[in-house]
Amino acid sequence: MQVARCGDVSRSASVGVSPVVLFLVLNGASACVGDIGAAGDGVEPTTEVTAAVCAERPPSPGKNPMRRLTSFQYANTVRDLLGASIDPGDDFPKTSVSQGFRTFIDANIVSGAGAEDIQRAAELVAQQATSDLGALLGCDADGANGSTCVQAFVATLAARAYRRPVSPDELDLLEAVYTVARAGGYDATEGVAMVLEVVLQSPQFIYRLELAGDAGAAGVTIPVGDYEAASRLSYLLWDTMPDDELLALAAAGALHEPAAIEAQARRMIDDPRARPVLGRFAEDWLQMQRLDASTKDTAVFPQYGAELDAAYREEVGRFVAHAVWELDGRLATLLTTPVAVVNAPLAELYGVEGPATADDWMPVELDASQRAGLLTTAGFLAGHANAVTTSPIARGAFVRNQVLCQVMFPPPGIDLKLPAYDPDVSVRERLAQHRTDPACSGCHQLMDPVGFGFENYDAIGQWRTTEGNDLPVDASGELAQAGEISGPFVGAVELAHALADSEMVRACMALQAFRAAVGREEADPDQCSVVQARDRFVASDADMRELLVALTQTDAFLYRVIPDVQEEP
Amino acid sequence: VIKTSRPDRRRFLLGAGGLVLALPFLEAFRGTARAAPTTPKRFILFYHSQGTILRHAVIPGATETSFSLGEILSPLEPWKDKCIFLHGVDNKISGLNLANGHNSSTRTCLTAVPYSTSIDQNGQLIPTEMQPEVEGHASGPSIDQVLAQRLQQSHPYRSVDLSVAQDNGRLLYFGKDDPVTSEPDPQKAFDRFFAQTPASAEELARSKLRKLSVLDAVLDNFALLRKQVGRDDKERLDAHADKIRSIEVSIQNSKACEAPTIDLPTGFDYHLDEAVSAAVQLDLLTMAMTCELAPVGTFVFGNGHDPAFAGITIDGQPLSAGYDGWHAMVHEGRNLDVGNGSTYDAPGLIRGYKWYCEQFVGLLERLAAVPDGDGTLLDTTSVLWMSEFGNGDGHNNLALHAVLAGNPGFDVGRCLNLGSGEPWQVSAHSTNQLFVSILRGFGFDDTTFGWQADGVSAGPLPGLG
Repeated sequence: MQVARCGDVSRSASVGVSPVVLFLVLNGASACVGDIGAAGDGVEPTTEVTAAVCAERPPSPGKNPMRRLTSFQYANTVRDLLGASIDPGDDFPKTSVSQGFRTFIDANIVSGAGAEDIQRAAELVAQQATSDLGALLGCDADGANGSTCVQAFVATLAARAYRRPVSPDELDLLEAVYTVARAGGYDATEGVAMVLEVVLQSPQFIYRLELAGDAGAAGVTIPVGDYEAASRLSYLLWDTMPDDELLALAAAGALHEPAAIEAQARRMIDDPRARPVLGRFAEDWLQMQRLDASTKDTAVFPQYGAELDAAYREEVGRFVAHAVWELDGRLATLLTTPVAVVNAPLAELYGVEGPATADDWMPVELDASQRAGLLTTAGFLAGHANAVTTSPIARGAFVRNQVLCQVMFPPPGIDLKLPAYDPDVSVRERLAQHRTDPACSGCHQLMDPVGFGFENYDAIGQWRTTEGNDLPVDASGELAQAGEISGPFVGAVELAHALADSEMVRACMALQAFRAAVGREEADPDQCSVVQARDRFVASDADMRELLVALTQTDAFLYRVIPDVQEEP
Repeated sequence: VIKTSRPDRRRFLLGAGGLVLALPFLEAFRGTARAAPTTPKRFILFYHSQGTILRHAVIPGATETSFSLGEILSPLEPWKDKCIFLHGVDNKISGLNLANGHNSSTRTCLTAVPYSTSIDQNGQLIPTEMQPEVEGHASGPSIDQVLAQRLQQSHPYRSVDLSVAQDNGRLLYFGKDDPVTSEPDPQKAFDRFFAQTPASAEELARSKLRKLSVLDAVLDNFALLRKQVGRDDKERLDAHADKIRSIEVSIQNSKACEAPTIDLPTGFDYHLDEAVSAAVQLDLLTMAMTCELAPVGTFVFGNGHDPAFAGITIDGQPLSAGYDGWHAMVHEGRNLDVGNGSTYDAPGLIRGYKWYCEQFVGLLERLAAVPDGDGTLLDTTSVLWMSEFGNGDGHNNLALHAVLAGNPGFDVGRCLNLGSGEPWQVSAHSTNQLFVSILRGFGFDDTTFGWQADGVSAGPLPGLG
């Protein structure tokens, strides 16, 4: 049997974040030796990247590929551009998270059908926006100064839609759409609608991209431009286009200095528009999209249905907004507070008094011996479970991958057969083979015992003290190879408190937020950006609002590399 | 007894089921009768996840001309002469990616190429231990899209892509990193492909012109912008612009097609009512092929992991009763001990796989009900039924099971076991060769398809071109 490498420090240490990354490579019947931190063959030792090391280095912003607006960003941007009463519809291609975050390129692909969807969405929005043309234009398109009126509207529209000054060519193009439409016998309303349809389908609007411009040669690193900073801030913190204040600062050339950016970041974080954005980040971090592919056995869980499923998805955003903006906003609070924000079905599930309907929500205190923050939310627990039984593997793997940033991959090419479900055998016993079979044990010893700590929560996230046919739940677990918090524990509440105190967890959270912010996985050029975000976050006693500020003060945010626009030779 | 709302062949023709076909329209098709071509005119892919149970598909011991269908494939008995049953072809690409399990199996199943993240800048495969820890996208197109691009002539669309329950999203690829979106909502599918009937020819012309002039301006904006961005962004802008050009083609080629009517039951939820979804989507797919909306159709069961199988029961119980869902039963419901040394497989598991087969039969029935030339659509269509695994329980990519049906361009009514014997072990033959065969069935002279990994033979499968 071939023994594969499991520990690989280079991948994580090279970005100076978590000290360890589990890295499974299994080929056929090979094994993972669970020795985290032990470098495999051929791994170069790397020096730790610290703030001091970074201070000596030139700014390194890393890659910044163009990013399509997410479906949330599209809807918000359309409303901010054309009016709050506009219904953006649901045609625009859905953002679909498979791994990572919804801001990733991979989650926002434009397929063939997607291009048609963008077209249909644009037509619907244009139709609504031009339903009262006078109100939209603020002047009379058919009056004596009709062409001036429309030209002024188009110029303003384009600058706001493209979120930067518009080039003469870009403006000519849009004006020609209107002129040709009128010459072809369309009325002013139809002509403006066609301009809007062009704008809403154009890459300047659909994508966030930063052009070469004339600020220097290809490959040169320069400070971020004012308009670029405005969009970076608004999409990071509000998931929408820059507001008037950002655009005015950009026009005045007063938005590229770190201090100006930080001041704006603080203003924006205090604005209610920031709240859902951090909630969406938390949903992706908790892998809530797993609920899409999950079904529960309603014979076993009669209370499970569409209403509870919808509540799972809404709870996280509401909880995060509450914990960050109404409580103290610290990561430790997110991970430990025995508070939930519930509607009627969730109140029933948690066994507390709550609102009378599914549409009303309120924060409630939970039993602190049973619940602690995000990792004991019903939706997270249900998403990391099967139709009938819990999934200690999924829950344990979540803690490794998402909370500790220790990457674990599912094993390839091996028979994943488990002993059949039997209500007289505990999940723990069923999984015993994982931990004894050498082909599995290396990594499963790192996951399963963590997941066992969550055994007090059934497959829909309810507290339980027995499983199957009245077998007593054993929620004792062990967290191995997790730095200073390694060791045995009993129950998810104890685990959550341990995680909340961990440096490794804070570093991991900063890294996850960095990934969501830049819309991609980190790479070598991001080492210092990640260190900058982490150090500031840790220094703030892990305040989530300060983490958002910190993200705007990294090399990745404050600088950019001028792209090479040459055609492929 | 299984109950689906799938209209049978008679109802389909008479319009009493979910789909109403106007008879004069069919007459019009009869009017254009011509000799059945020797090469197929179109391609349809039928896909579901989780493989099968090989010993209940084709009874072991089969030869090319003498074979018996097992319980799972028993609904195909009347269609045996229209099929080629294919066993023992391996997906040899899946294992080239670091992450395997479900993800790599799916993304390589119809593309036969590694992830783009598994290939370096020089086009060389990166050893798995050096690959990035991401679930990448396929680095090239799937067989259906290759055919779609080659076969599109005056069709408005390259392909009509429909799914059941949800979009798989990681199975069909138009190109590198460019997954195809398939529509799981029958109402939306109907709206997209059929609900565009302008009142007059003049209005149609005007509406076309308006859409085209808007899209022309959008394309001009792509051209303006691409001069100012780096290479990777250029590539992505170009790919997007290409799709807008496809919309232009679909507008130019759009035609008034007798629209079917769809009649969805009250409270219908396409995520859960898989039987209704499958029936209506198959109706729409058949209609799209009848109307020549595209040369390629794809039909994919999108929730491969835990399909609801709503209303489908065995002995009055849900299929996976006693198991922790469908996926758990796929793993655990095999080789159960009878007690005397022999084993059996869970009846619910066999029933689930058989249900997929019934849907496949539903497709064949629908195609055979529409006249085309001297025969029917089935006589002019190359149909491929595929899944990512052979035996589902092992979740590996060896010894896949596939069915070619209709007119794949080769003699039908055969069973080809290309594995190294029974019970269906590692094969000398690959899915790359299967896709070469399919292309050759259309008269193309390809000798390779996808990634040429070590141990992947060039050329078609023996007995298939």
